[in-house]
Amino acid sequence: MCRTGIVYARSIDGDVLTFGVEGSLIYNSLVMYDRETDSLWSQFLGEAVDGPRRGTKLEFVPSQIVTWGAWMKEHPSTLFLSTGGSSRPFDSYDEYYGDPDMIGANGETYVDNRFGTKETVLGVAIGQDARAYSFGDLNRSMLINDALGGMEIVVVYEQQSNVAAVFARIVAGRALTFFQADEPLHIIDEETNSVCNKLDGRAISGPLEGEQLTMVPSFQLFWFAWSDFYPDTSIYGE
Amino acid sequence: MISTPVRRFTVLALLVCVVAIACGVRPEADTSVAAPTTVIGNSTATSVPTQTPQPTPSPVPPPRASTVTLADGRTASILRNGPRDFIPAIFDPVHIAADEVGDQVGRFSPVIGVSIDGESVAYSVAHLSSHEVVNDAIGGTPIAVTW
Repeated sequence: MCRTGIVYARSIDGDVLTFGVEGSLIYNSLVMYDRETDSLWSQFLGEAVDGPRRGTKLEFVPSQIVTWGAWMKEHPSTLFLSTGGSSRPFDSYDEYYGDPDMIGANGETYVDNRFGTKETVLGVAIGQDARAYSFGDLNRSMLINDALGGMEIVVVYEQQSNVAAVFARIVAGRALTFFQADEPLHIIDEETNSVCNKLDGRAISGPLEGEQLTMVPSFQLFWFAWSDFYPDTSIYGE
Repeated sequence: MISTPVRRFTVLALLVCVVAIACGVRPEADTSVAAPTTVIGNSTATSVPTQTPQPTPSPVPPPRASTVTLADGRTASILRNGPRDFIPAIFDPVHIAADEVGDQVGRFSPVIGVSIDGESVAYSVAHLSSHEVVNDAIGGTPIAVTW
């Protein structure tokens, strides 16, 4: 309903949990249950909201939402989760995504006209601070050096492969300032002139080669979904 | 003409069935989620199930919280929109090589890509839409891919 993808580790305190779809929503975001303890988990919050595990956090696993072509190019030996052989050219939610009047299953809780209701934004929350980035801005600049919640971050985007990611721009205690490389998927830092990949933050050449920027959880999602969870969110550039 | 008491009973029986549907048609269904009358009002009698309930009900689970407190202190509702598992998560994922993918995903279609310890797996977003959760393991690390 929010158009949000995120990956979590299933190992928690030495136990491996198995998650199913509870059939409930918080605002319009997924609630899961685990078969082992019957706790309820919020996908968006990344923690158990009820049951024996209540309050337990899920560990974020870095991932990218990119085109299959871009992913294959970057990971030639990748595997693919089989759909069971069925060809699925269309997403069953396509009609919902395209209809500006369909707002989740539960509607919008906090009406906020700073963006269009169904406009997709990139949302980042660090500590108590939340910020939304418009894809218009990201498409123009292709990267944004910013700071949020006391953390120096770089927000990167590349339209053709649909890469949108946020990294802490600190390596070995030193804050880096990035600029766009000629190659759309690469960024270069002013301090060392090293080249980093936008997909996973890995330094692929220069003095920092082999280092990797730490990915910060971010969400590509509809504005209404972000502003419901974070009504006090700031917007980059405002 | 049906007498009023019989009609009342019929309406009541239908409501019980509809509530049962809203709660997942499980004997152990949550009692807390039956409260919102809007759920009942939106359902129709045509969806009354024909199958009988499971003969051996499992223990009644603890009552469910109907709200969650967010980091900033606000309270958000946990609203039921269907029975548990009405969207089937994937518990037995099958990985195939990129050259076996065929038309399961388009070159310009979005995937969620994950790499752990040198092993990479891509998940078609269109496929994830119908399952919402994949219980998987990459590079020996158990993960949940959620959409």
